[in-house]
Amino acid sequence: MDEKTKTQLASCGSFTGILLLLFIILSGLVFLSLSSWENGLRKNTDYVLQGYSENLHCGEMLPIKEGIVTSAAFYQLMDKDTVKGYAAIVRMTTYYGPVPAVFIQEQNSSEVIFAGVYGLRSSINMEFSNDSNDLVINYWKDKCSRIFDEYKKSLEDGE
Amino acid sequence: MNKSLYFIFTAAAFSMLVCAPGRFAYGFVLMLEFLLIISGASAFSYLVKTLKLENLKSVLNLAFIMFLTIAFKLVLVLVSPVMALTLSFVIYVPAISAFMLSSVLTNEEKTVKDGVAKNLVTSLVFALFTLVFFFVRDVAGFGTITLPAKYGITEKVLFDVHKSAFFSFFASVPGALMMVAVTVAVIILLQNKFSIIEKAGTQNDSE
Amino acid sequence: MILNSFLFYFIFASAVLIYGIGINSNAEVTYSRKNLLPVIIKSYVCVISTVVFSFLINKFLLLPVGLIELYPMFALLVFMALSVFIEILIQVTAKKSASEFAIAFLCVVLALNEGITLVDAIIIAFSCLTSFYLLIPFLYAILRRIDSVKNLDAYSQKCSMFFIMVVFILALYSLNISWFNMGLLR
Repeated sequence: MDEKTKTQLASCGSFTGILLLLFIILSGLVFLSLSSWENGLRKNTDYVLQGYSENLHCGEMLPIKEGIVTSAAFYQLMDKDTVKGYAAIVRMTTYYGPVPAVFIQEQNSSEVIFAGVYGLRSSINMEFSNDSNDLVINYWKDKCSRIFDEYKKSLEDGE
Repeated sequence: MNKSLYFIFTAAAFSMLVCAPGRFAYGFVLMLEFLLIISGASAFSYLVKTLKLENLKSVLNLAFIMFLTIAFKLVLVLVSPVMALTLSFVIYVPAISAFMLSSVLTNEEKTVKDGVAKNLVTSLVFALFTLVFFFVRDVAGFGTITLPAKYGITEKVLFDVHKSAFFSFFASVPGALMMVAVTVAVIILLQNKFSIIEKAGTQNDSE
Repeated sequence: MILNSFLFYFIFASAVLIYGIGINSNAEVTYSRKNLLPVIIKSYVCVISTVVFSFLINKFLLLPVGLIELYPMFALLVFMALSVFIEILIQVTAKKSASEFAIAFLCVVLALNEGITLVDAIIIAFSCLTSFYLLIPFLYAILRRIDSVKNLDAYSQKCSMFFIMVVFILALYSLNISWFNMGLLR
């Protein structure tokens, strides 16, 4: 092999090597952060759910296989110890920037309810409510409904 | 910091200032990320030069910047998952901005340390401006000062926003956009005035 | 559903004004060059093809393994490869701009993040790019109108752009308000 091919092979080799190393480090970090993601977001969703209705809290995380799981988390909705439906905490981009919004769907209904936003106070929190015909909230309700329907369908297919 | 450099920074990091949530905690985190990426990218460019991979420079730089961003997000998940969730799109903006700023950043210094330090100093004024900007947005828009905390953000309430709901406009995206525009206009005005005074001063000296 | 997604990212939560994609490039408004059309076609083709390939990589490679957080890295590599390939095909000789890369890549990231199905992701990417390119004539028209009245230097033009965008965002937010709410009359 002449010199030029050797240098080109060396370049390609170092390029691939660098990329592989970066992927390996990131994969390690992903697995380290999994439990923090699940538990931390469960705490925040519980906080909002308790503001909505006293006995509600989150159960197990749903194994949703969509790209949206990098900016959302989905849980079983529990009323004390009984499974009541599904809950989701999603990043909803609004007029005030992105906010973590909680949506719930009860088991036998197809309606998704907006339960609240985590971390917003007073006059700005009043802007967000389930009754408003806010186009952004309605869009996300629709999206959550589709995700829950897909999950229910995958459960039925799995059985 | 001269006028054009300031503009380049503001233009590149504009979406970070305007479209992020208006709380100091988020501004602090985004600023940390921005500085991390600037220093990481300048250090990495020296590695690329050493390995003689100049023809693949832009791809490698971008890949490394994206690596730093995703790694930062995963570390943020370990610290405060809800902040990582809220910032899950905005966190890619400083990465793209840092790439766009690569034309103003230098990698011609002799050692890696000098190069990284010089780039950090260039970015520092912008970093401080961003922190002040988010602080004002937080206080005016929400009436609180927020800091990152385990599993969320901690709030120190300063005053009840019910009484001054008008200022909650600054918590929103158009409010932030207006604040940036007004700040930039004021800075241009001041710089023009100072340059007139300077010119007058040098004219007097030459006479 | 398709129209809903398109309108959402185009108007209701505009990708440019609320998500912030390309908000700084719009403020520059240097798009008075004649060969804008090949650049636009190239960016649409590039973005949509990247979304398709990256979505398939996400679905069949990353999601089963649980490494979906790495999707921007893969999207970036696919994007760069496709961008070079399409440039050879279309032979676009326009000057390469970092801000055009920024806008296109952010659209891809947003589409992959928020798209539930492949069609949804394509619609979102298409809608974000359309919202960016369609805002330019509006801003340019207003800027030309201001220019005819008052001569502004480059920096003042940028400031006026920001104020115009504030007005746009407020105008779009008016869609959220129920103007005929009876509470107003009480």
